[in-house]
Amino acid sequence: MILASPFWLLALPALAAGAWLLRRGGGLATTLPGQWDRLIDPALRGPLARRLGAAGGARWRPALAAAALTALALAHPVIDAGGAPAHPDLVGRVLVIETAKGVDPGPQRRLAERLLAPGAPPTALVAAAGEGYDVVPLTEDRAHLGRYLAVLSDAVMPEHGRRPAAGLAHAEATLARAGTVVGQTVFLPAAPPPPEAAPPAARSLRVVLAHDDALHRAWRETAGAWGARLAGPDDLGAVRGDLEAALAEEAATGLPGGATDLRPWLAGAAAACWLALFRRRAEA
Amino acid sequence: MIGGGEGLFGLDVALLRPWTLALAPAPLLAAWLAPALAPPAAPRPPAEVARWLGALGEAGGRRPAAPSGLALRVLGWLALVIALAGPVTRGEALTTPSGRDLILAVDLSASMSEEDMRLAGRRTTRFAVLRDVVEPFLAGRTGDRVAVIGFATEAYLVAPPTHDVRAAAATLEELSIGLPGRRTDLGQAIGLAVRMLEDAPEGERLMLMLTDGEANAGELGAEDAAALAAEIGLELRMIGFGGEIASENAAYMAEIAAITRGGYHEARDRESLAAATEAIGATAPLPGPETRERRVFDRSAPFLATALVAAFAILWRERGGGA
Repeated sequence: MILASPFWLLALPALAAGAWLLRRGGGLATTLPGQWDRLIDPALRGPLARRLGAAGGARWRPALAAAALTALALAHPVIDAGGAPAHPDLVGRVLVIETAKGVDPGPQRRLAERLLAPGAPPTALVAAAGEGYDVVPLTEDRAHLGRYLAVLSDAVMPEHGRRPAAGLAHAEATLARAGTVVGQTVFLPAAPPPPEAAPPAARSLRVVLAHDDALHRAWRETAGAWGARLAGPDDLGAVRGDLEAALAEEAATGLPGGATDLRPWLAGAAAACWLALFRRRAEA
Repeated sequence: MIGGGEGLFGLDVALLRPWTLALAPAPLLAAWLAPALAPPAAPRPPAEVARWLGALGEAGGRRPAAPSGLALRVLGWLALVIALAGPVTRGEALTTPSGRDLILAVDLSASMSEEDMRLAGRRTTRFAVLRDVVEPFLAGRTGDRVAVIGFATEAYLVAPPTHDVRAAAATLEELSIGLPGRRTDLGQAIGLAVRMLEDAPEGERLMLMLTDGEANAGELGAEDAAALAAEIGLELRMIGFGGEIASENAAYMAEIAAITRGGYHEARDRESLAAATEAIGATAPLPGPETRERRVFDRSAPFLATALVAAFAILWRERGGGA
């Protein structure tokens, strides 16, 4: 089960506290309305207030139940239907391999290949140098991706230089062109970040995947500025997990038939409780 | 679902469960049918004293002015009913896969650079016209899984099978005549397509081969390759394209296509090439707009939040025994 907006659950402790206060007072406050406090003997105020509120108690219980159910509905629980609907533009990942003069791209390739394991989403390959370049469009043909990955190097770039942000922007344009709903761009740097302008605001899940510790440390600040997860060779599970979680949430909340939405049921239960608030009060 | 259109602030708004709006008058039934609440248990003062005390309460009440209990209850109820009706806005349509693999094989042999075509009134090469017609055709095949093969003496995969049809179409811009050799080997291209689809999921398989038909190289005979294609259900649609297609070449291409139960089309200029691709497209229909599912965005949260606030307000009033 997924909670699409879990922060609404914060209303529940407030309701619990309210319920405790109401119960402690016998279902009411201990003060009298208006300026009755000035007229009634202090010793009598408490008992009188409790008796006056006893009738109101029949209202606060359904109101409390309705509020709790409404807060749960707002948290938007959905039950995963076990697999996103088969839309080819639902999910995609772009691997951005940075090339730099005199840097062996082998470690980057090996790390990228690990993200091409069976079950990987449609994946595209972009080369980043002085600009971003399409190498392979979004595909599940791992053999084709592997072939092109194997020959990517600084030597085959039409324009040399280092502009990682341009590569990242190109990758996100690739996802946008394909109409990908849940996209992830994985940038594999060749060297520590050069000083350059920040990339445009993130339109996908961003990851900076550094192949060694020194690179990991060097990219920490830039990855933070990019709004990207900084990952290393041991974090590939988390990189995959980010995309899977985003896909599950999208399937649950944005796609008809993607999941069983519990919100209408909770709203229905809240409405049933709410009806009790309309009961007439009998004449004394 | 009802609703739709670009009505409200340009948004495509709809209700998933409009019938629940019929519940709006339900509180009247509840008030009428449900057992009444017990009366206040406190002793009531004599009427004259109650009036006096009431007036005193109103005149000097410490509570800030607040919506009446009934107003809050009605507000919360209506908000819940609207939330129950499932207000949503609809987003972009998602691609529905056609279940078809469409492979475009483009002849890049030297003869495709022959300038016997006209484009926008200017003399140009066969390949320039081919690109002008086929690129939009390919980009419009949303739903198909498309691949692009370039062939001449050799065949190579330009774009692997992808649903990103615009990216596949864009690869045509990168092709250059003579890159895979100067001669034409149809068998290589068909063989590559067969190898590529061997392990692909079952489904409709269509290969659109554009060539000037002068097959003049090759180890794997085009007939043998076509027989392999037929075995995996790959239908071959050949377009003979050029200022003049020799009758023996046309017959040869028709024969190869027939092996796969496909067909042969001939195009001598841009218009006839466009007509041929259109005819082939018509035989391979794409999922219609009515089958395309759209993303939906739940808009019930503001209404639920309103109900929650109303509930809190009622609880606050009840705290003081208000009605």
